[in-house]
Amino acid sequence: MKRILNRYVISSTVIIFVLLLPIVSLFIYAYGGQSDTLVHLKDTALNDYVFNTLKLIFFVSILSLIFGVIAAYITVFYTFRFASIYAILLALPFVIPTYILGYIYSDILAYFGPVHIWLKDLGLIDKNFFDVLNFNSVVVILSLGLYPYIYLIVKASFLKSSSALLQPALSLGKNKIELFYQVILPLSRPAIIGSLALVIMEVINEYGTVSYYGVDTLSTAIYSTWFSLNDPKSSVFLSIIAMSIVFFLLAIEKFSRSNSAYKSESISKVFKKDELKSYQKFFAYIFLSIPVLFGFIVPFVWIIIYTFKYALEVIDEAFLEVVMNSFVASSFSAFVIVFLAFFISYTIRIYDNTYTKYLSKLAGIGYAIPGVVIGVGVLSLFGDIDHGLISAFGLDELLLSGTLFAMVFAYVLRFLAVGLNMTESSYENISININKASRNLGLSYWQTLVRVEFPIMKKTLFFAFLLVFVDVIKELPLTLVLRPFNYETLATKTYEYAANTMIQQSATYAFVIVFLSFIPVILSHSKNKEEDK
Amino acid sequence: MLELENICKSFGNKVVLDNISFNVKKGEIISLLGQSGSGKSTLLNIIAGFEKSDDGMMTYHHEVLFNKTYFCEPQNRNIGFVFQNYALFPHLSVEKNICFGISKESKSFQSAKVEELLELMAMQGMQKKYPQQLSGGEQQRIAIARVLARQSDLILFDEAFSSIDAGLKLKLIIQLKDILKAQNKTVIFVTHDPREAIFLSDRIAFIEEGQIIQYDTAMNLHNNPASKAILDLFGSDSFTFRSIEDVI
Repeated sequence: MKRILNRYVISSTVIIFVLLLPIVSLFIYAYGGQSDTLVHLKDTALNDYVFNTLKLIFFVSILSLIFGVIAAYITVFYTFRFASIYAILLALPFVIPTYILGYIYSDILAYFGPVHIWLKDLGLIDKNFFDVLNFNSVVVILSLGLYPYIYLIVKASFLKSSSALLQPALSLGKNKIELFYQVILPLSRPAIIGSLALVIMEVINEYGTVSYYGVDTLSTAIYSTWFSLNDPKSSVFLSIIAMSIVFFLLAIEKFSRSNSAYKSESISKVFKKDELKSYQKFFAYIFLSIPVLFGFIVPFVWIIIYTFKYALEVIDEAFLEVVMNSFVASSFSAFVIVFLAFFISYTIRIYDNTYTKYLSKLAGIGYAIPGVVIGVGVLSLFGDIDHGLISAFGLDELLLSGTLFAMVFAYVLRFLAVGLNMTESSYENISININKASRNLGLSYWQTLVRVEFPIMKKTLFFAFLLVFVDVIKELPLTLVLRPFNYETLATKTYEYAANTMIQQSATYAFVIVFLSFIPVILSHSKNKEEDK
Repeated sequence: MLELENICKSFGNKVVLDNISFNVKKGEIISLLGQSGSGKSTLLNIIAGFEKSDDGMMTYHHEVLFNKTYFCEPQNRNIGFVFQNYALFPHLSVEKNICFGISKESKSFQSAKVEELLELMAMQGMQKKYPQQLSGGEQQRIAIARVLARQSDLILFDEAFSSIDAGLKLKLIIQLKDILKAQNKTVIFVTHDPREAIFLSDRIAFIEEGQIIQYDTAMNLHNNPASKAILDLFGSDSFTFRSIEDVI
């Protein structure tokens, strides 16, 4: 039997255990009784926080599913002019973080914004102007920003529906609509549910838009109980509720996927795409243009215009310092994440057993937990450690709390799953015999890692680095909770300017975030092209 | 040269190897023959050190490589292994693949070795090519050259002909046997194809459900089969012998 305990498995276990300590500490911390604020919250606003969160999940899910699934269906099964351009444009709302989308629409639709002025000029509204800062707007904005998760994953699933099953269905006289409902849709159910789970996690994680639009959710409550009411205990309690919702949804997702492991191949071999009829084409263009226009083109143009207009006012030494802060924090976090992901997936590769498989799942759990919850977990744990150190050694300052280390630690916990996904899926394509051959030719596991596995994996590792780098740059709630005093990043500065209704100034910071977010999109597009060849 | 005693191996409740003992003499080519799941590849992995046996011991050149208290890591065994899909390093050229296991030797020694082995494999001038530019048969020869460069006395082959075109297989087997015999290598060859085993080996160990049922020459398996499965494969009416007669 292969030894379960060895240097690699022990090191990976220790790394993952240390990373998960903040989550474990939340449960321990919450166990010690309730504060007065919490009792008050339970009597008053707690139900609203939970209800608003669930309501938001429900409506964003519905709207994202409509945008995502229908867009995937049209682009996969039908051919029309500009179809390939639409296929790319539909994925682009991904590059604009939802909180930036939120600030932009609050500006465009504000009382003195261009839409109001235009409507007033046309005489369509007078005094009864509409207020955009409400729950419905949040639903639309989050759906516009998050539907690409569903669109991209479901589209890939549609493309890979098994021809072994589609061919008999076609030969049995089913038309395309019947084929879609009776074969393709059931086959794609795991992809739909999986992508929806990602959307829901993002909704629970959302902080910027909901707080700006005045919608109280668990995410805003966790933040405000800690920082406004100064009550960590209640914040921890709310974090556990948010986490429970996430784990409950993950359990449903896992259950619904349990019997759905299909091996698939390209659908393009089976049948040709249909040409849309003229009236169908009209509706298809209208439908596909809505998310593209409002999820990408309008906000992108807004950012470009405001950046050109205000960049010279905004770009100064402080701006460059913020850009540098973001680059340093994101690069360092991405480097640590990719290094750990590579090491952990290598451990799983060479010691492939039930224990290491569970270890990998545990390592990726941070991605499911809202950023603000991770932030609160790290704050509580590091606060306790600091107090312990102060009373034990008489230190006169906090060693861990409020440091860059705490922030990077939290990023690693939250985004390790992104790195792991990349390295593990890449390893699936590299035979384990490569590793065995190297060891058979005299190299140790470590030498094999350095001389064989790393050179083969370096492209993947670079791609993983960029993906994580951009994810960290975009991350707002966790950064807001954990950044050191007076430490600003692109995300916090965008939020700060927008929150102070200096939206024009926030555009230049948003521009840098959006510009960097294009990198993984372009890379994955060129990677897909390379694979197609 | 190589002795295995009472090797046992289970995965969960499934017994894969049940008290296996056998030996291989210097310069001998033997085959481990059996159906898929019979345990032959597991046994090969145990000899190479990629798997650990639950019980038993192995000696190589009278030196213990593993027993209940000791385990020699695969990188320290100097036993060559040719994998089913050859496992050539895709990021290295032919030349660098061959020199991978002798990288501590001098550059002049390495390039002389590459020249010598490529000539032996009838692949002169291929130094700068990459594995993905080679055919299946060429990849196999580079995998063998890579192992020969290390000057291992014992070489293990795991289904090394399974992805070779049937028409080319016999030719390659004959070439390989000539090379290995000329180099006086000891070889253990895992296969599920009795014809490969007959062509290549001096002796055949027939494995069934984790046990060696018979370990003898092909002719003795033919004359005195120890089980129904061996009779079916090697008996006078068997497809194997009839098809070999066709080839001959």
